[in-house]
Amino acid sequence: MGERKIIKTTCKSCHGGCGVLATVEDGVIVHIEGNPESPTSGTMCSKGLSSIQHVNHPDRLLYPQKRVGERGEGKWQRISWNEALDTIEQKMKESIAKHGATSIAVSQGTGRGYNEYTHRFARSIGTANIITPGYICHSPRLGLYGLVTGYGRLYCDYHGWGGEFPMTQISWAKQLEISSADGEMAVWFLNSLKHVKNLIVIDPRETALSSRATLWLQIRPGTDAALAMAMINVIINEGLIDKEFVEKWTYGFDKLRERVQEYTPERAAEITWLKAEDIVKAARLFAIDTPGCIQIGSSLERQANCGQTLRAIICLLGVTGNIERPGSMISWVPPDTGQREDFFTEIPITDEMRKGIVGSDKYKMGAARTAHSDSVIKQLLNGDSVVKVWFSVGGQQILHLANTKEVMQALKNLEFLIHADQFMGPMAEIADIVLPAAHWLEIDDIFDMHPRFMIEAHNRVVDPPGEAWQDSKIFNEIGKRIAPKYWFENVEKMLDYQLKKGNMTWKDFSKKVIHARMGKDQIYYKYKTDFWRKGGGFPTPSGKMELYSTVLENLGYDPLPYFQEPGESPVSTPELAKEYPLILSTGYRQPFYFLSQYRNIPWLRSFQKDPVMQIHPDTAKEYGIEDGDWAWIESPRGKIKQKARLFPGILKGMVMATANCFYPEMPAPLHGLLKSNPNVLTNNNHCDPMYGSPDLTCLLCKVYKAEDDK
Amino acid sequence: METHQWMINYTRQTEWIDRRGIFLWIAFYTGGLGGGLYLVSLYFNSLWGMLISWLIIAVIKGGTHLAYLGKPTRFWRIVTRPQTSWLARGFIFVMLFVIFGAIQLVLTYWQPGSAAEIVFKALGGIMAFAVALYTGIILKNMKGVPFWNSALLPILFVLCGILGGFGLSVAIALAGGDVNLSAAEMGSRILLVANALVIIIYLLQADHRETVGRQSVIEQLRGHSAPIFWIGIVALGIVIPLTIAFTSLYTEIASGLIIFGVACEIIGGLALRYNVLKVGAYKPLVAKPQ
Amino acid sequence: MRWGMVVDLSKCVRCYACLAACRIEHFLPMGINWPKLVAMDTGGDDPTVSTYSVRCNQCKDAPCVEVCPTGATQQREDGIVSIDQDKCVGCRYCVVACPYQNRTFLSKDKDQGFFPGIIQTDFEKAGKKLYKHQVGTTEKCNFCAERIDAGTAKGLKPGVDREATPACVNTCPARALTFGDLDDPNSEVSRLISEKKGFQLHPEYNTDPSVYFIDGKIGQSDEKKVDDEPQKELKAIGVGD
Repeated sequence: MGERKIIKTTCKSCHGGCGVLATVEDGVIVHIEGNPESPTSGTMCSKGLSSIQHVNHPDRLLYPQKRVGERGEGKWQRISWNEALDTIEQKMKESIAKHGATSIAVSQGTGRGYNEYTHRFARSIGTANIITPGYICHSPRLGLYGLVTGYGRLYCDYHGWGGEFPMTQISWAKQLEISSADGEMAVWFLNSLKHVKNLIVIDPRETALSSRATLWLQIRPGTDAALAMAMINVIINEGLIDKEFVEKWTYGFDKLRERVQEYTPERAAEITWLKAEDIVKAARLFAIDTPGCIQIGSSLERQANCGQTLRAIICLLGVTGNIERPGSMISWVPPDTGQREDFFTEIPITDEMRKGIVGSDKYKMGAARTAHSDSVIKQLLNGDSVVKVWFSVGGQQILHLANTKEVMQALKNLEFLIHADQFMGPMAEIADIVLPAAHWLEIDDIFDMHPRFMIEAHNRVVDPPGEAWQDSKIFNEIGKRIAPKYWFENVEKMLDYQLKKGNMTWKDFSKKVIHARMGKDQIYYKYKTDFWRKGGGFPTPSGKMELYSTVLENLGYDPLPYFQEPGESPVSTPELAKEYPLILSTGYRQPFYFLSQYRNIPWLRSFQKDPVMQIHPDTAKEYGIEDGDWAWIESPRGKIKQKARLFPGILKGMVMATANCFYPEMPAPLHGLLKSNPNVLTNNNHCDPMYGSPDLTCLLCKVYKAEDDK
Repeated sequence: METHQWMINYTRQTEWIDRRGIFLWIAFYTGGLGGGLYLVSLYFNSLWGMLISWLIIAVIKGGTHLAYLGKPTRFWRIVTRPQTSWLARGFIFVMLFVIFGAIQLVLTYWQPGSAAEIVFKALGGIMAFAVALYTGIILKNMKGVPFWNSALLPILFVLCGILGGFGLSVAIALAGGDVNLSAAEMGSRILLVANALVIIIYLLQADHRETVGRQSVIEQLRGHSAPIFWIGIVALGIVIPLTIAFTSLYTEIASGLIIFGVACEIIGGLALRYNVLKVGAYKPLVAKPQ
Repeated sequence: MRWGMVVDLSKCVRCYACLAACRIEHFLPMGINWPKLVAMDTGGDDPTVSTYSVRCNQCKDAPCVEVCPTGATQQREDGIVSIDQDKCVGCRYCVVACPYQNRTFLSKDKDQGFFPGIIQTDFEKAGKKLYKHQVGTTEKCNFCAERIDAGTAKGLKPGVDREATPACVNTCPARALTFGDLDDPNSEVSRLISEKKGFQLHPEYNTDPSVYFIDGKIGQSDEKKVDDEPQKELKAIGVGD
């Protein structure tokens, strides 16, 4: 037996955060398990554990490559990093000279602790055209929570550090336990269920938890705002509000009370397809048994009424006083190293940058720091694109943006596309330069994800294969060439810089693995202290929690929440519903895949080979579909096929399609992109006025049996 | 593995029939056939029959069993646990049959009528019976497969073996061997009728052994295994040989046709074992509430 | 002493971590899973979504032990049903005889490697040295007997000390799996079984499995309080400003 050592690191196979012990023998990872001394107590899920097959995968990209044939033809030539960086530098500088810095877009996948680099890079070269999936995942929440708490984050207090656990929990359009993201939080959430008195699950589909919950509201997709408003209605009209909090710490209660009067439980029941008495019951449970918290799912942010839906939910938290109280919703205080966002917010967005943000004229909340992706696509299609050069890291916009066919067309109109990835996926295939990226077991980096009360270290366990680089190094090297004053001699120096507020170097932190503010060090009831405002109060213009939002009012939005039908629904488009009678949601995720990732990892693929769409047995029968059949799902934009799974726990008249799927093993350049990806069906024309989020979870479709897929 | 499709519904036993499992099917059948033929040959005192049955068991059954094992070179380990394992017992029955049968064949050839010959005939007969019987007991004892849980199964397997034995005896007689043709034919007729009755009773009973037993029956009568059941077991295994056998009571029948009938019987026997193994399904691991 | 496991159906969220941890712990060939997930959804008036994380039940009265013709399958004193891979002839009698379908015959096609015909990964190469699997023999869950043996030799307690506890139990993010001594009335497993009415799968087989399942509601909602119309207080609430 050779040298055997155990390295402590942090998993990033989903958003990440679970502590890991990796055993290395003679330079080979022979074992992975959770780190029992981490906040996730040594647990790990199938995705993180299967990293063993990921790092060893024969299809990993090993070298920078440049396109030699037509775009998408699949002809590549290996080049050196120097050539790659030279070309990127030249193309970017050319574009900046010719069209200005905002002609460069930087895109990323879901935030996984490398956002700091994408944003810093973009800002350092003078553009804020950052394309992220944020507007359909988490950004609306951050922005709207930010109208309450300043820094924009509110988390369910699953920890009991203030002496209380949530008594009533609402899991709203969220399966934190399996939704394939937020692994660490799932562990805390599941643990907190030991202490819960009432669990309310709001989901059109039944889940393991909803089966055993106090109340399950099987809601019609896209109508959540009506439910939230009706719950507020009940709580106010039955006198169940948190009087002291509302009187002392909220602004605009009377106006809210007026607004919710139109949302009686009976009317909401009609809209949401729920029972009025269940809405009343949910409201009472949440208002009586406090403290309580609401775990929101990003499905709510994949709807064109997402802004006001979230506003309604925030007001629901407000009238019940479930802010900053132990066991409710908290904005955690970061550790002394500060917020990692400081790493890019220290470079402010200039007016010029702001003017250049695509979509900023329309989506004033969403396109303030980042671009509106769908507008970028539309501009590219129309030939009047601000964006000319696109640098893509860590995500495949071609898969996750709405209306795949348009996106494919649009990306072809780019002048230059650079993509960094670990594998050759559909996005890489249409790029001009592809850069090989490293896996989390191969990098030294700082991780922070949702909870924000801690940072964790990714410690390099093995070297990246071939010439693959970690994202931070890629950005640092390109950054040094274009905006040298913002970048660093090497990655370690850059990490040191990010830790300097905590008086730590990377080396110190690497050994420590975790640096957190937990337990008694956290501060509850910040509004009762000087934390946000001298003498107490919220960091808002009125100094109170704004049920009536003055910020939104100033931006020209409705300061009070309201419900709006989805762009396509049996109610809003009854004519269309005759041809496409079923509600389509594209939010189905499996716990062993992370968005578009891992379908090429044999262990994970073994759990489910083909993408599955769920449909109620009665609905399936109506359309002649049996369990296990391949079925076409068709919308006005196109059709895809997935394998039908008859599931009695799903709302009748609805189809839930697996999201973000492609087939890595299928031939380039598409890799089966158009076969099963539900974004072929989704619509990028109808977007949320605040954030620009398109309807992805509430559309219309029809289904019919497809020939067998051999 | 697609979780939801697995173990909730009707899940067939596959290990002993699919893919390499066909070796086991042939081994199971030839055990019955060889054992049955040996017993019939004892009745007729047919040296040819005994020799053929010995070859069937020693070569075909032994060979297919060996070929089926994952680690054939370790086959000798099988004898070590006869206390509880019917497979170990079966293996011992086969070994003893091969030894006793060989001695008996030699004695019958060189010293017919000697006391030793009779003793070894008796020993060989007991082992032949055991060989024909034990596979039925193995299946009968399988806890998770209701279709097999019947004391009729070993009886059926033995009867089927003896039926095959009579069939082969007829063939031996037609080939000019040492068997009384009309007695062999009469044996065939009786066994065919008995076999058909046992199959019907068996299916009727299995139909009431839990939902899965019923599904096994349905699978056989109407499902994927139905062609084998209706063509193999019913038509080839019973109707055709029975028609030929009863026609031969009244008129002279060409020996070619009789041989055809025997071949049908053999195919019917193979089909029977095949389907019994094929439709044996487990009770769902987790019962789905209706 | 008799090692046993309790699977909490109200906690399992179908994440497959138990399968993944087992694959790593035992360097399982690609085509094999020791634990398996049986997922079930029912409609009707009281619908449920349940996932049964199943694995060898280590039955006290194990059919596989009974039928094994070579003695390769044995029951240890601590109740674990073990297979001696060097003695197994691959007759698959046990595979067919296990009424819970928890045994798998390792055929050649189940051991083609992670990336057949392309590469053998470093992890697989290491596995060939660290954990021998024999094609042509039968495999199943052994409750991580290696961990239990190494741990107890150090004086650790399986089910309490991580080092001596099965890998799937350690990794379960939902904490749906509990391990311990069924013979010890004070162990966590015994407590759960008695308090939460633990049940075995197919008790009618009389095999006495060492794996129990429990189920239950989440929370202790006192619904009466909510269903009674709360006192209406519609008097205006003065709000600042």
